[in-house]
Amino acid sequence: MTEALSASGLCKTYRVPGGELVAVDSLSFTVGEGEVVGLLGPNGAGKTTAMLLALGLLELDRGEVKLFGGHPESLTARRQIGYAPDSPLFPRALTGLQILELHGALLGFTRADAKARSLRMVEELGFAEPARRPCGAYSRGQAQRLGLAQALLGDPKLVLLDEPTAGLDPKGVAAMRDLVGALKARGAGVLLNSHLLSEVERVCDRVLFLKGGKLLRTHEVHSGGRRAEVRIANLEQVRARLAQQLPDAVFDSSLPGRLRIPVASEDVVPGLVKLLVDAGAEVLEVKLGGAELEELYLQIVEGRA
Amino acid sequence: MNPLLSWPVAFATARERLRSSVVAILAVLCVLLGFWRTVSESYGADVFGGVGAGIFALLTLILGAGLLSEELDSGHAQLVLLRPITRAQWVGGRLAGAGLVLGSTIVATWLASLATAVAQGARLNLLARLSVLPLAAVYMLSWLAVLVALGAVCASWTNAGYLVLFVLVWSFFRKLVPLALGRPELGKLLGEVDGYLGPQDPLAAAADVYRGLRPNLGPALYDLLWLFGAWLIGVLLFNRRELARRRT
Repeated sequence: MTEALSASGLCKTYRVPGGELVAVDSLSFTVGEGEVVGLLGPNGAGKTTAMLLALGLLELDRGEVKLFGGHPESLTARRQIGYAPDSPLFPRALTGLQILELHGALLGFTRADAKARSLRMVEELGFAEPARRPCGAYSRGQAQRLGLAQALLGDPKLVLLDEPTAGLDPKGVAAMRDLVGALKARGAGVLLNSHLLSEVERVCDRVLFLKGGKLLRTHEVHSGGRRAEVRIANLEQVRARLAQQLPDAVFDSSLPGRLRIPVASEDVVPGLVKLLVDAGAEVLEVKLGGAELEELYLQIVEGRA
Repeated sequence: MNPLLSWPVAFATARERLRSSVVAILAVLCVLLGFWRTVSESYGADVFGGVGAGIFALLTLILGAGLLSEELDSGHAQLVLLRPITRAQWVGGRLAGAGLVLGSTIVATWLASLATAVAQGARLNLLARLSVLPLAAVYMLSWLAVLVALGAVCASWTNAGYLVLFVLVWSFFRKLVPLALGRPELGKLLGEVDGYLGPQDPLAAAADVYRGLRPNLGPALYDLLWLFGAWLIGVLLFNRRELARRRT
């Protein structure tokens, strides 16, 4: 896999009142083309700073960043990247379309092409009507969509998304998931910073757990298949039978009425539910994914056993 | 692409500045002055002096205030600078955008003045009138460039604030110090220095053309130096600046 982004030994310290704050400490990671990498960590973990360092918008204290093998501020690299910041703000007097046309022109598209791309993008992201109004009147969600539109305008090969679902309605969150999938499908690398663990687990190939600016662990999301978490009303009654039929199932005493079963993919879930019901289990809920990453997050980041 | 400025940035900046109601009102006032303050038997520089000079100075100040910092504070500048353009082109584009609005107002005011003079049946000295246009433009654009250079390091609208403060403090200093020290000859010296502390009014060259004299282009050339020098200093300062800040 070709590396779209390569960061090694990134260090960044901010001067704050009363001293210094280490935001990123010896952080190394890569994002390959066609790979979706997630950044997870609590507030202040250094996720946004890591993105800004990768883009060359912040100066490194130490370390090196390469975008497509070159310097992040090289004009060649900048033709191939897109960045959607968290809570973006735009010139209040300009409309969303005018801003997109500006970005299109800066990317080197002709006026007509920039206009056509801008129109297509706002329609794809579902804010064609607000895009004709000045940005000063935008809600957070609309500004977020405009931020995404400008990031994706030039069909970038590397996209950095900082909290892209913040401020979006459920429809917008689902659209975002599809969009990340589409980016991956066309071979673009994606670096995603999000607090939505379930979304991260669904779209990411790899997750980096950060805390205090340090990389605690890298986790291959689908390396060991996925896991279904099942809530059963009469678990104690059918426990012995299920243990026999599902030897990989984990009965966690800390979670009464629940068991976790490794599954290869979501396609096998209907068959699993049938097997459970046939074994006499009263199935109340089946949750796929999310739980594992949440558990890992709590273990790695919060230090809970 | 032009290595000194980005035209897409310039056009977007002009569009954005024109949407400001304060800018629009001042621009309209300038044009109205073109109709009211025109003296038929003149070369058209009168509209850029007196009250006109004050309104144009205010317009320049409003156009240049926060020209860079507004975009940086909102975070849009960072997105623009992730495109394949240099920081110099962005700074040049912002300056050119505000300059387009200022230049258009100068041209509209000049045309209003010309129309009034024609309506009054004046004998027109077209060469002298035409010379007013670039002279007025270079003078005001050079002040705009000074605001841009200050904006490369100042937050929000403080670039305009610092400039006004400096002009006021210097004026007091220049007039009060010789009096306080009882040395009137110091006033003459400070007056000489004053001429070089910023762009110089070059409109006297238009008067020279009107009178058939060889025009003194020194102030205009000095202003050109300020225009490019201030842009260059602005770019050098901006190149040293970290674009993003810690999110709090």
